[in-house]
Amino acid sequence: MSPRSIKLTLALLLATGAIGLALHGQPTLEDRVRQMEAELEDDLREGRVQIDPGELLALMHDDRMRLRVVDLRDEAGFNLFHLLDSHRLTREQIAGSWGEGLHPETVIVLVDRDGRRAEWAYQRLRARRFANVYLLDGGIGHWVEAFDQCLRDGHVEEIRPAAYPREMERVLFPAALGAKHPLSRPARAALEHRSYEAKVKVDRPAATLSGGCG
Amino acid sequence: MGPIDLQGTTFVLVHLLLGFGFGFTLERAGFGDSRRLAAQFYLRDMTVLKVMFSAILTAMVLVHWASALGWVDLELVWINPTYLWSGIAGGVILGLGFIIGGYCPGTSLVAAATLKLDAIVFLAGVMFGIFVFGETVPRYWSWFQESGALGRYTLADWTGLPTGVVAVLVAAMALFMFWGAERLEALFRPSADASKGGRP
Amino acid sequence: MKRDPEKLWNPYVAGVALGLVLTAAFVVAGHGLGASGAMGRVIAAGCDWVAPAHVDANPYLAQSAGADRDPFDHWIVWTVVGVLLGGLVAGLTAGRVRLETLGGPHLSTAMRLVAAFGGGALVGYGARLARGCTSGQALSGGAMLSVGSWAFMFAVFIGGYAIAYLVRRLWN
Repeated sequence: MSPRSIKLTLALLLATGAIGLALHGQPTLEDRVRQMEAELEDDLREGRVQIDPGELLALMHDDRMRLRVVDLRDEAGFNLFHLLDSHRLTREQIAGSWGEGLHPETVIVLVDRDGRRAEWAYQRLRARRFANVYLLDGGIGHWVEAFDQCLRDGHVEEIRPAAYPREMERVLFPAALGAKHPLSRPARAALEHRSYEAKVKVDRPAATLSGGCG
Repeated sequence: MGPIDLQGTTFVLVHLLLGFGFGFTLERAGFGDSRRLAAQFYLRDMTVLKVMFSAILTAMVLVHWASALGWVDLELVWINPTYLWSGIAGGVILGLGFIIGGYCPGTSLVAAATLKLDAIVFLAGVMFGIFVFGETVPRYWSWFQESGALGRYTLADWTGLPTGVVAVLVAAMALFMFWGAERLEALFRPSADASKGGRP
Repeated sequence: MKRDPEKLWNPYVAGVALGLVLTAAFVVAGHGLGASGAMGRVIAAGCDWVAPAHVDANPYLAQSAGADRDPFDHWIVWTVVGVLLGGLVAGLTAGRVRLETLGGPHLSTAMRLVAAFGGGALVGYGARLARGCTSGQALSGGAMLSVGSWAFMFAVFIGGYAIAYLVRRLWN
């Protein structure tokens, strides 16, 4: 093969490869979710990633833990009451570029009203390759149930278990207290009477293990 | 689906092999010779440009095709974070050093392996330069860490174009540069210079 | 193809071969190639051996050798060992292993070595400032279309061409 034909062949291959790339496109987030579908379904079904409110509270009190609590409820619910230091995110943000600058060992806990919306977000964040994503088991409803002792210490009336979950919000949080409600961050003592199975393991994603040119 | 979480002996072996391929290819490209490397900047011998851009294009097309076919997850692949100003400043300084010293770090390793004394001395210089950097950078550490720090930021992110389209544009630019390089070589190379082999 | 007695590859072919190695690195190991990082780690290790407290206090050195970090616990160390071996084997099989100094035709060996050291120092400084060299930034970052890497690449060419005329005695 003459040098000239080598050059032409390579140039042609390159041009074809590049044009083909432009036509074919790169995998989207939804493609990746589909690729990971089986694994994600399994995690959710086996309950591996749904954490007890007690565990979340323990994480909130752990100074060495890099924690991000993400609230997926609508604005009204969030303004009524949300966990201290939690951030409200929309679907666009979850599927977009939120969290790009976060430390790779950050533990992300997804919170919604009762635990169902969080599954969608869980799949997207895992597909975006966040290494440590968990869901609050039972959402805000379960959180309130778990720490109702805080309420009984004189701040608000008793919970009526039947009024769940929307009515409970109206009863418990007659004013938009946001994170000023004592339930936003119960004291460490509230953990004393709560036992749970700890599920959070902090993993480092592979991409940051390799790092760049030293 | 790649990349693979390599451990232990496999990890070492894979990287030894990658390095071996790297070093072997550089030597066969003729980069164990500082004169050929420097000739790039006198437009006589554009091998550096041809090899570099051919390599970048090949890898660009193949890796992104692997991603398109689901063979590698680019979310898990390291993409150099952009630190724009320190990157440009470092690049200019490295360019100055390149034309003065005749090597870049990778090629100097290859030349040193073939016992080129100038490469060995060059490497000693590199170590010294790195040492000086280590001692001086704390003084401007916050600039170093923050200026132009755009994180993981590709040409596709910057232009808003799909990655594939960017690939086509980059390929077109490179093909144009190859054509231009050959014209420049023809213009600046003294004729009947058979010692600089490896040319088409 | 005509047999090339000098065993030098067509630059485009060499480039494609290099691109294949680079691709393998990305798809298998999840990152590209590199060189200057290993040299940085050697320096960090040396400083750590002599003055560990100084290393801990230096934000740059601490990244690779602070506290109980092992500076050699990084893929780039193995890659660089491979590069040396690959270069040696390629050189041996092409008859290019010879203790010699290569430089411009009208330059004394002493001057060449002085320039090599000085140029090396600039290259070392620039590579760490840019967080990579032509292998780690230009090749690897370039293939992955990182903006910073492309800017770096153009800066290198600009730096070289800018003073090429000034230092022409080194090479011509």
